[in-house]
Amino acid sequence: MEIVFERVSHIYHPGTPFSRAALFDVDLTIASGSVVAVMGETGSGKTTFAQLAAGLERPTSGRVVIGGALLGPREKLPPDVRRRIGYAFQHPEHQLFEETVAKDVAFVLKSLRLSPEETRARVERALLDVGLDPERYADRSPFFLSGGEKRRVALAGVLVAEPALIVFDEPTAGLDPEAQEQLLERLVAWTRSRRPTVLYITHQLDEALRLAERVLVFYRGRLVHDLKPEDVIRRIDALKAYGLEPSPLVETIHALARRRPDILDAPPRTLPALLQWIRSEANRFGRTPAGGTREDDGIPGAPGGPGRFFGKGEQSGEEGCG
Amino acid sequence: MAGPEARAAAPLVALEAITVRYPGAARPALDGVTLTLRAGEWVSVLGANGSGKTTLARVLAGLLVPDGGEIRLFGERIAADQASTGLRRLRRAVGMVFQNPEAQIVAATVEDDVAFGPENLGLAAREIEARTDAAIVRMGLDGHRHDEPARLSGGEKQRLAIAGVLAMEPRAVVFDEASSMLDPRARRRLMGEMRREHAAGRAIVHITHDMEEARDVPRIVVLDRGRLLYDGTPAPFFEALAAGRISPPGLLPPFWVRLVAALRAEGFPVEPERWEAEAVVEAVWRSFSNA
Repeated sequence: MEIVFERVSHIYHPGTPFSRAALFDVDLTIASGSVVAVMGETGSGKTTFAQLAAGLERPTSGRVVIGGALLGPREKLPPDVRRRIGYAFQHPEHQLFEETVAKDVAFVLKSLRLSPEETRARVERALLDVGLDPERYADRSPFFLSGGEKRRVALAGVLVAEPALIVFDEPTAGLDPEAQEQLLERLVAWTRSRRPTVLYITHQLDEALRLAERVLVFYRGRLVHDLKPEDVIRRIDALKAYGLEPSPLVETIHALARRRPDILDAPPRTLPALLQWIRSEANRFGRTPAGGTREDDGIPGAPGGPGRFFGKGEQSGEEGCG
Repeated sequence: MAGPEARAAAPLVALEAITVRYPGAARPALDGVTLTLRAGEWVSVLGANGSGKTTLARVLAGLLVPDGGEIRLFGERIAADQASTGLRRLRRAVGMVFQNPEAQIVAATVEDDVAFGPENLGLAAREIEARTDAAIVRMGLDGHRHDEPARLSGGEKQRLAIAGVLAMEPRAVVFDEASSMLDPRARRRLMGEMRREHAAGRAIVHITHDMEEARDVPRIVVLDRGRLLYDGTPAPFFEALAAGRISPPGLLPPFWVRLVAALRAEGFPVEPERWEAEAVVEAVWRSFSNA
């Protein structure tokens, strides 16, 4: 679903003492099926932008065209377009309310009047898409799941409608790192297989680099950068002024670039890609990995110092922690 | 009771075999956790969601009375009932900044909010004013003194909550995932505030599930499903995690640990001196020529 912004501005509560301008003069086109990361600090306008792009807010001036339908100061989206748009709000698990996981995921399908078989099939597929086994989860109460599982159920409830345009608002925020990694993996796979238009709001640079083909940076209500992910890596120093922080991946690439500037020609966007680059660089040194794993030691101890492991099966380490 | 000398040597807070059970929960939230916090120390507490981090924070700050085990404050045992003077002394010694700052904002203006704690301590008006002033300036809220807390940004609200805690002049501050709702810039600023308070002599308990935040701290404590899994400097723990010798659910090693572990598994003898980009890259380069 294509999205076009033409000189779009948005003011909250116009004409009242609470009036607050959130977005100024945004012009851009997002091609159907593209995956776009939306970045910027809190209050930068990125959420307002996404809500306009999904038709949840109307512009105060200018026009937005979504899937060929006009959204203007006085024009609403027609229902057939609205139904093809999904919006996964921040902390979507707060909106779970049905007795079972299956019912919660199926909720948005009610208006489509599908057969029970079709509904069940779509719920199962959506649960699989977020990495939950339908056999194990469909009949459970969502309230007794872990935070990460609840998050997945809530996202399945958006994916199940098979939207042509979907907004994810910080979908991994607040999960522990392993759960973040697993969920991101699922969302990447889902996006690659279904090819919807995706707007992915995130504060995490590495998520944007891994998922998106285009990165929008908002600052104080304006679209200040519209970049390829590779350019985000190359120009990270300039982007700090807009609240972007280099990740360890990006810092590593720049440290490598001080020795091999050509890494910036096609900078790796993920840890596996970085490892691949390092391997081929090692080859240039005439150095190929010896192969096999070293069983004797792990990571050398820097910053060194003692620590103590507790519980079963762990090595005891050096004793005498502070 | 301990004399002044023993008191000075005793840890600020010592937890011994602390157990906490929430009604209806399948397993204890904390299960026999023993831990000391010394005056002026920095401890980062790591663990997956549900590992017991927040419960530990609440016990340390005297907000939750454990079902089993002992708490000592400067070596003196604290009686385990809510009304005990010992528990009140623990609450004064250890302040807590919550994940959601809204949870601890109580007054209609920034100034009144910061003054609320010292007022409750029954201090003289001049002392209340001095502490309130100092905390407001310290947290960079001078321009917002008379503002309504509700109109502050997320980062400002967080700093207001911290100012309220600092005005109580606690010996230690527990930050319970205080950065998790902030954007990267506000997060970095918060870490800066924490470091500054630590440098000023306050003990800091930094609770997080972000392993990157804890990679260069002096001491980490790792919880796994209510039990203490590790206590010490970060390196041996990251080493064990990266080598797969331990695999607590929910924790992912920091980026550079994963990078170095992957290269070592392929036979590159990568030995960084510090966990930061330049040192890691330097070690990668050395591993090419050493091999």
